Amino acid sequence: MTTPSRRRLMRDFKKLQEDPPAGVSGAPTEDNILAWEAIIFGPQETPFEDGTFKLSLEFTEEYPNKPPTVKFISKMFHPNVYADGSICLDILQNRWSPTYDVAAILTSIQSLLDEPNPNSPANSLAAQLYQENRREYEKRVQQIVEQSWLNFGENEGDAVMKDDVDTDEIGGGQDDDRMDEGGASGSNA
Amino acid sequence: MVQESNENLPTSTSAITEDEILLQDQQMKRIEDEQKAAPLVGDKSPFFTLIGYYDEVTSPAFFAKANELAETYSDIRYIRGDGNCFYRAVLVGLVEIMLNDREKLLKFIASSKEWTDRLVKLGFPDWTCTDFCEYFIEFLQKIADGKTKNEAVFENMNDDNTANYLLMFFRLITSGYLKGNSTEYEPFIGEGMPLAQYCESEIEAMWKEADHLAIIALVKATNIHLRIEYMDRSVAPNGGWHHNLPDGDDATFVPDITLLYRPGHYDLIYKKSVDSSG
Repeated sequence: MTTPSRRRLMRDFKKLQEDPPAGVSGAPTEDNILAWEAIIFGPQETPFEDGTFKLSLEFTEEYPNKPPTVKFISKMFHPNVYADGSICLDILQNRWSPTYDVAAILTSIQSLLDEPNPNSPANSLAAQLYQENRREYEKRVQQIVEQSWLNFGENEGDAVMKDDVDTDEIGGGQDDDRMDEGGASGSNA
Repeated sequence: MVQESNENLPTSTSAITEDEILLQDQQMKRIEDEQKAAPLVGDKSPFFTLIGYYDEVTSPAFFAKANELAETYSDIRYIRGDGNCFYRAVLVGLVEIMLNDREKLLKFIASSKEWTDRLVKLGFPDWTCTDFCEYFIEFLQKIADGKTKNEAVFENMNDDNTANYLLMFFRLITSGYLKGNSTEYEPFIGEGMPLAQYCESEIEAMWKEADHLAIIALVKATNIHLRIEYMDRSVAPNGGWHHNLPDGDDATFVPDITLLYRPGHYDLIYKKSVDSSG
């Protein structure tokens, strides 16, 4: 008999396919219903616009009574995201409710992008710049938006954003991490 | 550091460091492991086993009370103390009744279906809530169809994931009852907290203990007669030793389910049958 968590996750997936919220998508990995990958598109008219951010969601058999562990795989620069990609978001911790589903999680993270909570900084530099130097903050965000296309292209051969970046730079493979100073700037202007 | 954020700790992600979170996580994990050492739902045990928990010299009041209760009650079913104990005790108590009474089982299936519609109308997140309802109804339907035998029912009750998925239905209807009668119950919520927020953070969240409001709401939502026996007189309303819900006169009140309250915890207890007493 399937466990309640696996049954629920199948339903979450079906729901996400039939009635997808704007700007997010997600699916279980091929061989494990408890491990998902998701993509969040940066909300329009925010510094995160045009970003295609990858995330991993790890569920346990205790889902939905306990929340999944959600992390950004794409590099992120945000006051509430730790260096390892973990997210400081109340609904994923002490305000979790079993009535949330994957769609609710992903849309909450999407809104967090442009509505950071500077009171619980996970990245103190991002929090500081967000409050004191918005111009520099947005510049840093722009960098990770551009990196998100590269990572996307690197991992998915036929990714949608491929045409927008210089293919030579994708070819750089392992070196992508080091090109954080405007390597692909303006390619989507 | 200023500690001003402490008062709203349970519902906010205010300034706490990564180390503190890690420490909290470790402590939570340890508490959880300790809790999980006990079964979710124990077998029926003789009531006198309770007496063994109390020392005649160091806790004479509880020792005496346990002895006194042992004259009325024959059995006790210990429930795991994980914050869900009230809901779980009622769930198990109800399931036991339904296993022995087909008419009540069918009635409860029907009222659970009504609850599904009611929750949607009350604005609960549509499909996730109905999924909890469907799962619970399916569970009862399988009992009604003879597809799940009694032993399997108790295996389900002791499987964390299945049992907690079933239990969530009870949290939802508790919350639904309060939301459906908000004008009556909102004044009882402290500190001007809106009822909806109270329901989300205190009722719908797993592992949160039931307070008095939750108890009344679940009793009304399930339409049961519940008696709670107390170990001391400090918590029972009206200074009594037990509490009938909904309010009822001792002479005429016949409880469907009886719980024993020990500070912070509920277990299921069973009255001696008339012919076996004395």
